[in-house]
Amino acid sequence: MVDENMLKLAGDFTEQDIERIRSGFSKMLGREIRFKVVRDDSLIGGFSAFINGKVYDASVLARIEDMQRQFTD
Amino acid sequence: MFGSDVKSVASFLNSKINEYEYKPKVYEYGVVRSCTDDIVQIDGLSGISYGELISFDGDAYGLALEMSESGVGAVLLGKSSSVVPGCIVRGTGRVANICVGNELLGRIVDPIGRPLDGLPLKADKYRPIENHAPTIMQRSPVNAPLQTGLLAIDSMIPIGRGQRELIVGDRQTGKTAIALAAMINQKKDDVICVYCAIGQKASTVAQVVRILTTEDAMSNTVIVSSTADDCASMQYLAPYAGCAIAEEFMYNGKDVLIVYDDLTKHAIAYRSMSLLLRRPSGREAYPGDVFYLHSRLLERSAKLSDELGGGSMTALPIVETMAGDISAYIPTNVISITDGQIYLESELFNAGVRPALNVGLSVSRVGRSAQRSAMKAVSGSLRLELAQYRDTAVFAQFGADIDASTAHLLARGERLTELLKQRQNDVMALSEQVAVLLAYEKDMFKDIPKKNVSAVKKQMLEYLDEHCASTMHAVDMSGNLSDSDRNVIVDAISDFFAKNK
Repeated sequence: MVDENMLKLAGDFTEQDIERIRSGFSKMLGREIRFKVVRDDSLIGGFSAFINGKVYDASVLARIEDMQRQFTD
Repeated sequence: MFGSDVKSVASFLNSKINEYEYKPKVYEYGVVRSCTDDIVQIDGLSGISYGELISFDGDAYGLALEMSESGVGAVLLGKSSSVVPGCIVRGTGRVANICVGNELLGRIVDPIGRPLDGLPLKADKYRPIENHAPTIMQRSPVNAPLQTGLLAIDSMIPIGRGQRELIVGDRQTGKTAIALAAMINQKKDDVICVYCAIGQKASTVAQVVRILTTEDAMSNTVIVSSTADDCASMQYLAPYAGCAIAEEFMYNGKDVLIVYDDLTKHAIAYRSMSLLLRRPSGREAYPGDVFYLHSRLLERSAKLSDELGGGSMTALPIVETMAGDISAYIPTNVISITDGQIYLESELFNAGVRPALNVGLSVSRVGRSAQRSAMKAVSGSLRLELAQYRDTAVFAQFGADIDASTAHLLARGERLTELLKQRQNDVMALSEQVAVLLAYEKDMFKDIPKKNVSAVKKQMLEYLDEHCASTMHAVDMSGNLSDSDRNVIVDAISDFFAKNK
């Protein structure tokens, strides 16, 4: 379901990491955010947050894809 | 770009990497709710636009075709097993587009621009598959001919550049053969051809490619292929993709010929897509917008005004009928959109009249004004004569007593029918067509037995090629038949018949 927020992370992570990301988003969006946390190593590194129909992508994979696009275009 | 210097490559890459700037990305996403028969229902993705390309996890793509409060309905492009419920979907922010430009000449691509001939394809330019047709002020009247190289068509149903001429007939009546002959004939006229196979057998497409290659016409041709085993959405996209490729050439001032083979299968593919998307169905279960489906495609063919470069796109859509029924839904739709039709009949085809043209039911609504004056001068009454002959021949079949003038009409008609026959892929130059019609006008063939007519025609053309090549060439170049040219050709024809009595 789209209304369920999800946080995808690559590699090992701790409760503190999640808490830091969670509070960051809560501050940014001005409301309390809860995540279902999923480990996804295909991201290579970093995280991507799926909140309310939007993806906030800060993963290494997105960075590489973006770089690839800028170089080939 | 770099020469062979490894260092400069490295420094180039380094500078590129230093230039690179990362901006965090925020985009919308949706979740696949269900996936049946290549139709995907998606939750979320509310900001998407109609016709936008969407990407699924695992490098699969789809086309958003239905927006509602509850979500988005999309069709999958290509087969993908990676699309399952729960899968994440993103919009790409662009409508479906296809690579265009000169790089595509001589190539075979699928409707989303992937090469199918096993060679790499690097195009710099893209165009959206769906595009607006040229407006009223952007068009100019059709005034240049598109020679098909088929005597029966160029003389009686002339096609102009920018015209849309439907080829309609039952299966196995030579519809594709006419389109192919027209494409082969364009290599000397510098007209670019786009052949759009929609739901065709892969073997048929392979055969078309083979014929074009052996006739040396592949180098100015682009083939867009969606075969019968491609999913309905790819077949649906194919003509629009082909049209976008042709449009690029047209807006660059070139003349283009596009063949849609065939629109019946296109309508069927669209019908299956619409039924799976649960759209209300109308006559013959086609959805309500099946007319608009073809009208918006064929409206994109045009002769552009001089301000826009004067390019043109001539369309030859093909429609297959069942048991000669041209009043079925799709044929009548396309007939009313196009500027005329070439109607092929299986009885004529089986009687050996090839191309199996039914002159009575075939028309060209704009081509006459575009006909070359040389052809106009010799083809004036041809249609009438042929129609009279066909009418009279029906009565004469009953063995009725016929007077001398009727016998003369029948003999002339039989010979005209023979003269209009042409072997497959055997195209005729304008001057050859004019010469044949001049010989017919002077009744030169009256003493030749019916079965020898085509052989004699061939010998006559060879004779003319030897004895008045310069005049023939002048007619080809200018498109006019001056009185002196006419006399030279008629004299040569008389010489030939006198020598070969």
